[in-house]
Amino acid sequence: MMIEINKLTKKYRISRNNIVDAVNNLSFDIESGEVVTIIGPSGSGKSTLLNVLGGLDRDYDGEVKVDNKEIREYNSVYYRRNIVGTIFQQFYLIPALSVEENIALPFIFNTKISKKQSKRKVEELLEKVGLQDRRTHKPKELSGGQAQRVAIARALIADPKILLADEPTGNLDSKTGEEIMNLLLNLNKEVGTTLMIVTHDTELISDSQKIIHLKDGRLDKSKMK
Amino acid sequence: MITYSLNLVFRSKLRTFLTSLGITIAVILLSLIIFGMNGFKDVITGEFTSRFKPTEIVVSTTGFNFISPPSSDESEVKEPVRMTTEVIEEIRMLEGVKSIDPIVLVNGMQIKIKGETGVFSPSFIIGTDLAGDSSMFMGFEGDRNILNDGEAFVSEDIANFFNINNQDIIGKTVVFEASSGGLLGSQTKEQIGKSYEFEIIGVVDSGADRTDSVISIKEASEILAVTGGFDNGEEFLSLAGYDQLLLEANSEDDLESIKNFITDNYGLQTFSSEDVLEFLNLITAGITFVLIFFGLVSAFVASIGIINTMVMSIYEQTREIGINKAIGASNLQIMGIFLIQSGVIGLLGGILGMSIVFAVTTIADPFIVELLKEQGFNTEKYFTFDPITVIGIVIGCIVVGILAGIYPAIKAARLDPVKALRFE
Repeated sequence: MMIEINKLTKKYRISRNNIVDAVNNLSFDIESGEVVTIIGPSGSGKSTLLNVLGGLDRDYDGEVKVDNKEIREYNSVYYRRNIVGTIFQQFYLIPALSVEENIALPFIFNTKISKKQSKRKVEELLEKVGLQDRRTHKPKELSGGQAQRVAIARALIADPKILLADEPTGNLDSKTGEEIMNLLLNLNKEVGTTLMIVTHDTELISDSQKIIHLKDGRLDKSKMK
Repeated sequence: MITYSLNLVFRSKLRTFLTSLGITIAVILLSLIIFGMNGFKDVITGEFTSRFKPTEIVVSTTGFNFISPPSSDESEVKEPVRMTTEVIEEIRMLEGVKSIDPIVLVNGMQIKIKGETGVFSPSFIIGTDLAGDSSMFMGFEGDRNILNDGEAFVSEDIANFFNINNQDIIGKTVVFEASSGGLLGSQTKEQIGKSYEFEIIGVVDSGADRTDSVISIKEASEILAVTGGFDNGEEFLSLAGYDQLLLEANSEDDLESIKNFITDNYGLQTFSSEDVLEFLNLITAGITFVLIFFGLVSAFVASIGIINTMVMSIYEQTREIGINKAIGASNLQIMGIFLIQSGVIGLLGGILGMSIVFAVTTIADPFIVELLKEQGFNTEKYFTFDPITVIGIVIGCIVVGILAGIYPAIKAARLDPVKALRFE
């Protein structure tokens, strides 16, 4: 079992007397290499779940285990650097860096990776996402689809075990969105990375092995696949 | 990470430049203080050491209070004796004394050159039997360096004042008359209407102590005898005594004991090259300390500018900080990115400041040297760039930049990645 979520609860204090349960008593498992879609309306707890799984939010109740180890027991930097890769809806590329520099960014912070290794990995990923001819371009010179490809390559550079995609097609037209989804699914098949996609687009869920419906921070079991 | 940080700091080139200007101003201020004071000290030290040997002591009845402040303890102050011929002979017999050259000062005289127009006043005339080419006088020009009766040396300043070149003034007659007043001028009944004529046999560099003319002790004492109402020069010297003594010891080891003996037994004031150099070091260190304080205040103000810029850049880079944290940057690495940026701002300010200082001092140096030469200082260069000081200042700028970056860096490192990613 790759990911085991047991009674995950996350509360937010909005004001002194107003505490909101973003995620409430959530439990489910994900197998290694699975493609999982998390679907739900706005405010259902999708992003909170991704923040917890991405190692960005460690202040929660319950248990979230990755490879039989509670996330909070991992060194947070090690976890974000080696276990998980995240793709954001707004791509979040660094505007001043070129395509290849953006892809290599995680390795800037990983002193164990040599420049040579970094360069080789960037080449490999540029080929996978089909951006060899855009390597020196800046993010503003790219289309939305190309920018998301860069973000995917950046998320994959450290060969993470889990790839989290937060609305990866949210800012793209349907054709480009489909291309990006196909790319993600192909990478999943090729590399065997566990892929968790957060979306509200029901058309994207057909290829998922597991669909998790969230509503008000809880599992909507009536719609579970 | 360094390349990435440089990329961030040069993203806003104008802002980086303007922020580093604060450091630049502090560097200009501090460098000019440090190099200016070093130059000042070198010029004064050079002037003094070229005129006085390390084994020489100047002895005077009047105190060199600027070098050795008088003691506040009344019991320690001994009334100085007059430096009469008798006292001088006693000092000459002291162990370790190699030679003594007494000096008298003739004040209140104005100088004319016979056949030339113009009056040079106020003047500094000394009576001594020192040779014209002794270390006390520099740049001696003349056929003979020992003064006989009726002969004088004049300074280069006097020659320049009367528009005569050094060689042409030799052979002319210099005339001393009681000054008609003004600064350092004095009138005595006995001197009114009197004038003293001497043949000029040599020219000396006037130096920073402004010696305008030199005559023999015998003739100087005769003039002073008239001024003071003494029967003759001999009586003047035996009763009023000399003004200064230039004493040469056998070795530097003898200096302290000779100085102590003269001070303790005769109440006379003494100073050697070492005293002057110590005094100069004290004065320049004091002035430098005060000026550096102002320089540091400007560095502090500059560092506030850096803090402001870096805090602003946190707001601009909040989302980037979030992204970096999400992809595995540690808090220390986030801090490092900001510290590199602030350090680079400091470095740029330092390099720019030092470049401006170098350019300004290179242009100003010949003018300052010319001005000093006009005042009698013999120097070829005022500002001397010591590479270690230059490197020290630039490193100091980097340190100021890094120190100023600590607070913003900690603030950046503590950002919650979730909030940072949501930041609009």
